[in-house]
Amino acid sequence: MTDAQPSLSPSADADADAALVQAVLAGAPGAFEGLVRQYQGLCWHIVDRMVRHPEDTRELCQEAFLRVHRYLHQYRSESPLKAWIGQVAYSVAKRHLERRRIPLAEAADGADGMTLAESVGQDFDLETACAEDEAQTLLHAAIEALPPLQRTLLTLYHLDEVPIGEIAVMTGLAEGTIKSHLFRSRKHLRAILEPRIGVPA
Amino acid sequence: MTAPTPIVDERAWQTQEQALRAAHGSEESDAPSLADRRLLRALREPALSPLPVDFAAEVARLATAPTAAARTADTRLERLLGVGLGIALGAAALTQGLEQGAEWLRIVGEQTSPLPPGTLRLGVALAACVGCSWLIGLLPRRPARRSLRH
Repeated sequence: MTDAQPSLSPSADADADAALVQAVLAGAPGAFEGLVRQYQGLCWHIVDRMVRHPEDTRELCQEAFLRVHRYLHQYRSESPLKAWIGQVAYSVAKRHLERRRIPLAEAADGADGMTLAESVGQDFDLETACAEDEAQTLLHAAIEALPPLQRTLLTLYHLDEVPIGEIAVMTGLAEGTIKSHLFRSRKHLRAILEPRIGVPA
Repeated sequence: MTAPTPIVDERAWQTQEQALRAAHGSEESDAPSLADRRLLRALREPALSPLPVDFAAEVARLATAPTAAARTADTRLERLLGVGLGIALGAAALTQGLEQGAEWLRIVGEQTSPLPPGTLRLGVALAACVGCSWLIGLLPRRPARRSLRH
């Protein structure tokens, strides 16, 4: 939720990253599997949010980690290993969407004019759905209806708690652009709830 | 691909961030806090497809598979070339036999003695040479095998 949420001190993280990378490059038994275990959640979240297809997610995550294995010698510790692996996962998923001609993000103008309640579709009865579980279901559907980039940014920031700076490394987007996407997506999501729980406009 | 996203006003960003941060763990029952809490919960518990249990082990296996696959491909190619060469040599021998077999039989039939004098001695010498080469070829392998056992 904050712009920087280090789990350990940055130098301790960097040391742990360097040790793990060295072990994998030296071919230590189980080292690569350990690396995958450590970052599979992040990679899965990125790809799943981007492509929303379990089978494609599995294949693309595999591809991402095979790329990590092949190009790990190029990792230079300039950014955390997590950001580097996230960048690989993001680029693999992005290329997949481009091949299928699926737009990554809505045009800025379009997003302003669109209400997420509209984009969710007519499956939900906004008048009667008032219980918390139903509100959560509605919000989840609204998140699903967001463009791939916005979905992914929300998940990285709120679920994986990746700092904005690292999200910028992963996606190649400017920090301001990321904040803007997050701000606008959250504003639209909240707008779905407001009429249902009596928030004044 | 997309129009450039307008940069959000930093103050608006901070206000939204603070509201969500305040909603986290808050017990406030007013409508704005409730909306922020529900939004935060939905964002932190997205509907994601489950990660397969064996994923890491499978990827690790795949990562090391290309070497084995390349080795298998090399062996397969070697075997294929060997079979191809054998077939080509067999076909050439058969063709030659069919074309010149009658001539060879005629020449052999015309010989009063099929083998020239001294052929037997040369044959024994040749067999002795081949035998010696084979025995010498065995000598360096023995220490290597022994060292592998230790």
